[in-house]
Amino acid sequence: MGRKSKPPAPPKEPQEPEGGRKWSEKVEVLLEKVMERFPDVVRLDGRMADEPALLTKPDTVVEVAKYLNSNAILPLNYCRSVTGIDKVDRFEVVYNLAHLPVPGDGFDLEFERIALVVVIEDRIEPKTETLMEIWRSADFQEREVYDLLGVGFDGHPDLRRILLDEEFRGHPLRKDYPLMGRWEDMQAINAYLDEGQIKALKEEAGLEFNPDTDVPPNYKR
Amino acid sequence: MGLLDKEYNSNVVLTTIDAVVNWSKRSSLWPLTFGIACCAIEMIVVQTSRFDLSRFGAEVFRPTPRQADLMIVSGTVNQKMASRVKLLYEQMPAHKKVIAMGSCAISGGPYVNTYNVVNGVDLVIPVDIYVPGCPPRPEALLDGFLKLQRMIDKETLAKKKA
Repeated sequence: MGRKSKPPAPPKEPQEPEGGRKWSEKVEVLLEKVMERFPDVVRLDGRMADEPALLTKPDTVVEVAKYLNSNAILPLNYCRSVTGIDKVDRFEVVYNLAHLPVPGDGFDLEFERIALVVVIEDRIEPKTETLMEIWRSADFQEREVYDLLGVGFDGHPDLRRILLDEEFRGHPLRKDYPLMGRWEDMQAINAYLDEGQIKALKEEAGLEFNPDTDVPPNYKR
Repeated sequence: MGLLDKEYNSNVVLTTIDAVVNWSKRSSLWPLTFGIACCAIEMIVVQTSRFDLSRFGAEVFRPTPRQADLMIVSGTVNQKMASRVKLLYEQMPAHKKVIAMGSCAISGGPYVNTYNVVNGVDLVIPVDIYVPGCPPRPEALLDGFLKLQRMIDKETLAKKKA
């Protein structure tokens, strides 16, 4: 308690996976179509060898998701899981999407898959749009992300805690949550990032730094 | 027993009310069917033929708290679970006993002081027997069970001395 620790610097990741990309032609065609259709709002991250990631922002995620779900090339009809990541200067909500064969297509265990990543830069009041209307399986998992990370989902009909008790305060999977004890002890602990460190992280990622929105009150010493 | 020596035939048994009541209590304990975490696996094994809890009179795990009088808390109790455990305990009829099984139920174990774990189930309900281990071997739970029976044997209906 009260020990100041610095999060380890993220390792330098290779831009291309070793052994080349392994996804199929259909996925490649779909990725090209998506980049053509949403050139400004979608960024492709191809570092994972077998699962390409499409990065987008909260205000555009619904149209991208609708296109991924209903396109004619490779309709991604199944949401395998929803996870959230606290990247210290931003939140990321990851939808792992897959194309499951419909009856008549034959059956293959190696299904096509794509990750849709929503990058949320607002750390004080992080929120994105719900994709529950498109993939019903996102319902409980979005609630779990809300519960543990505090990311809001606009339009979700029943957004409340799912794992923790109703009186719980705070969101324990955030990096600034204390390792020992509860939210109430938080006041006694100095947050481990100061303004300068957040600024450096933002600049490293090629993003603009705004001290009013980027530094949460907890982080200010 | 000097006064009563050789006064009765061999078909007469002399005992105390305490001994009879305690014998019936300890020989027919009805555990509640519920396991919270990994210790529950060891609790289930105790019931199988290899370890055979039924030798000591507790073979049937009841699925409803209203028919049970022994609660084996086998696992980590978290903040959300605590109110449910308390509710189950309160629904059990009187003369009820509680065994806290494993480090987590005793003190929070490896998860002590984390954000959602109760530091020991005895903060929520009264506990009679603590069985340490992570998880305890089935023999350890049997030992705890026998200790509970010995504890019941010492109970008395008489008024406590002031």
